Amino acid sequence: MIPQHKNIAAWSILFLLVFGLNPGTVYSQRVGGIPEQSISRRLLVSNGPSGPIKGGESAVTDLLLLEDGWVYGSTKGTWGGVKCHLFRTDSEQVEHVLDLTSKFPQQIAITDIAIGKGNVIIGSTSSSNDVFDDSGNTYEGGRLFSFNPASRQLDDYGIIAPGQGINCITVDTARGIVYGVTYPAGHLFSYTIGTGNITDFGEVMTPWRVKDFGQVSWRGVPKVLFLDDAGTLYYATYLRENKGAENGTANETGQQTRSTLKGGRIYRLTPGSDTPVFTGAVIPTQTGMDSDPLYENGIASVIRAKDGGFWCGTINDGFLFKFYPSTSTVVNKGKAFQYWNLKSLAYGGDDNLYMLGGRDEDNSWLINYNPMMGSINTIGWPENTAQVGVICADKAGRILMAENQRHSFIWVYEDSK
Amino acid sequence: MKPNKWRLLLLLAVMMGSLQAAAQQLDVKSIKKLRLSMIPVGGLEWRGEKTQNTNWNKISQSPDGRIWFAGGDHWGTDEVTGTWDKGDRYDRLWGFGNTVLSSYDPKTDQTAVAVEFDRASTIFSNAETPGHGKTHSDIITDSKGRIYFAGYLGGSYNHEYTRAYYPKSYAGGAIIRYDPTKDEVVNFGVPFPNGGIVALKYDEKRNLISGLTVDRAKFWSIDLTTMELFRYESIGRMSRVTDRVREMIMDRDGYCYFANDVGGLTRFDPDTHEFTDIDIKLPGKLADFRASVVSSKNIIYAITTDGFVWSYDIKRNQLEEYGHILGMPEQGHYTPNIALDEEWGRLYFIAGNHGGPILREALNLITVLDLNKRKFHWMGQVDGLEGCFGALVANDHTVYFSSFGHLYENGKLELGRDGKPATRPYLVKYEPPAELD
Repeated sequence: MIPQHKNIAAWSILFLLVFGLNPGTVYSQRVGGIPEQSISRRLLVSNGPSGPIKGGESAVTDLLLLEDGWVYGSTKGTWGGVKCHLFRTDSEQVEHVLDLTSKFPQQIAITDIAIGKGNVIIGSTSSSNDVFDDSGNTYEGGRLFSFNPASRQLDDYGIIAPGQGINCITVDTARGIVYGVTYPAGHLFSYTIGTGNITDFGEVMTPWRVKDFGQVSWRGVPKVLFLDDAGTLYYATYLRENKGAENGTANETGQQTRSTLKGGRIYRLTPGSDTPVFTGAVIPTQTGMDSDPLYENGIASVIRAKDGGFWCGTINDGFLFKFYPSTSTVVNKGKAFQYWNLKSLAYGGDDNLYMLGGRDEDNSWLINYNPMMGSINTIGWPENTAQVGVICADKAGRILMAENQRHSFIWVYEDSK
Repeated sequence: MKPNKWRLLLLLAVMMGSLQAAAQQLDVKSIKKLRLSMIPVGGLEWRGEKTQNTNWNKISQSPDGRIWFAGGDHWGTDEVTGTWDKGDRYDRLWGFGNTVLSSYDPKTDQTAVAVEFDRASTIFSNAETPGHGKTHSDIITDSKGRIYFAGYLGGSYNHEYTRAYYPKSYAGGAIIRYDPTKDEVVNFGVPFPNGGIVALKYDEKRNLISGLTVDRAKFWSIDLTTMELFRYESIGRMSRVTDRVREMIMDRDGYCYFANDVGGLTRFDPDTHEFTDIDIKLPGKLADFRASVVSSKNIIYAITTDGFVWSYDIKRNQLEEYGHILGMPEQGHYTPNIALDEEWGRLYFIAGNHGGPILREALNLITVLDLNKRKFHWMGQVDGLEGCFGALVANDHTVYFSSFGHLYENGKLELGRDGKPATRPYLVKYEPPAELD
């Protein structure tokens, strides 16, 4: 029989093995926290009342790794903040790059940034939902701009649609075309760099106004656009069908019609065409919910896969799926337990696909997908009060997680190296 | 010139005062012991025994002079206290995790149980659905004498994230109003599902009640006239503090204040729903506030989690520092309570357990800060006390501390069924001397 003190020693060793080697997980983090040793840094984007990035101006909207090795980020004004900025980080420090609102006074949000030809940043701007909700607003409209980090030259491409912001953009660098979607009107447009020609392809989604806990927003407006190598543009939206009802009461025109909305339909616009067409591909959703008019079926995030397809995350359900443009095929890879709205994707240095799941303005979880194993792993969140909105890999393959709060942090996740 | 001379004298006086506060340091060998009157919370008896165990809330005095305080059984996902075990959860319906609102009338020296939180918020607490094991926020009284309070459960943050059910299915902290004149209870509901409530402030002019959730520091408000709920971001987070945030401030005009991530204060405007950072630097390494009180002149008095006392004059936008509560700036000293006597120009504190570093020898030490002389007075250690989370100065200058610890009644230490000293929630009544020096 083992003496009691040996029992104690054995249990102590077991305890140390189980808990002692991972103290961050056990003692310092709540349920769901990323182990502290996996996070090497927490960088504050906000500079405080003296600026240049003041509180309320540091909610990060997008991150972009450029060839100079820096990750560039964009911000928006929140809860009274009235300015937006460009900043950059090398995962060691954050540097202010540009106060965009000082150049374009009515613009308080940089909604999206993309890489343009010559390693420049192409960006889009918008205003706040409160402004859009005011029928008497005098907002000039969202602008497109380019910024060259090397020369620090800012070029104004002008206003796309008076009174309307810009929700998202993508850039066809070969043809010099910027595609975007206005907000809240939901019009698809293109802007040709050089000529300045703007084409409005019309409304691609009739957004619905939602008041959620006192805050107005418009849902349904496409959140991402993406391009294949041939320059064909893709996005997901709703298909409206008006059908004659078979057994309904006749209306004034003598026939009852029924309008249906079918969500998550992937559309394409080929270069030179004026009309987007339905590809026949439908994003994964819960059975029966694709035609629910208030269930936001759409694509929240996209990243190009190595095999020519595109990894996509859905809004409401948080499904990870791959879309192959050449065959209009959708392959559903499933979803992480309990998490929804896969709003940002990035490849880590370990070749895993990292995903961010969670509500837009709430605590979000880092998840990864191992393409070799086909497995989804829920990693957790960096801190109990973290509100991460976007992720991006830095030049070393670390995952940067950026918040969209008044005083936002960027968390550097190391295990993806 | 005369005005300059006066200014110089005033500056010198302030500097001398600051030097005095800075020069002071507690001599731990000279700390006296105090045995003070303890007023226990009633109710929550089961099978002939008290289940009362804990107290983590602020207290208030209603216009009729009664002190409103609370005690909970502390049964939650983190703990089943006392001589019970988890099996008792199956038998004690309406009681697994419950808290009582009580009043103490200084005129009659009597306490009365007002309501149980679980029944008031219609949470049928049992083994699978725990109730409000404590309250962790302010108890507020309005000008009509109505009482506002909120529920909390230990470990509730586990299901803020996972939304898992059994055995972690706390519905969330409910906001409740009690009108003692009509014995009427109004349950306003749970503003954040699954989240316990910490900090609770009431803006009577706007009929707006506001608070924070425990772990994610989410700020919320309910317009009690329209029942419109507003939710904001984790504005209450104080990222330098490793413990959970439990505190926010509301000034006399209904503006709310939070310690922010750049070491200052952020102000919330309830009319525009906008937040603004005030360009000040709070003292200490943590640069926060763990307890606060607002004077009738709208001056905020507060103490940081590491023990630095400061004030902020809202009108003049002026921050004043009063030094470290022990005169030991490197020594964290967790003091989650503060009470202001405006007439006598004093602040009162008791350092306590649970929440931050503390000088053990100075635990439960009643400290008085003479605001006029900027001088700390260490009055003595309260015998039996373990923690204190709320304090107030009554109209007659008596100080009440909302506390828990070992209970002495009529000089006798209360023992539990197991023969060990029981831990109980109670008010500690302290009658300070009119003269400190």
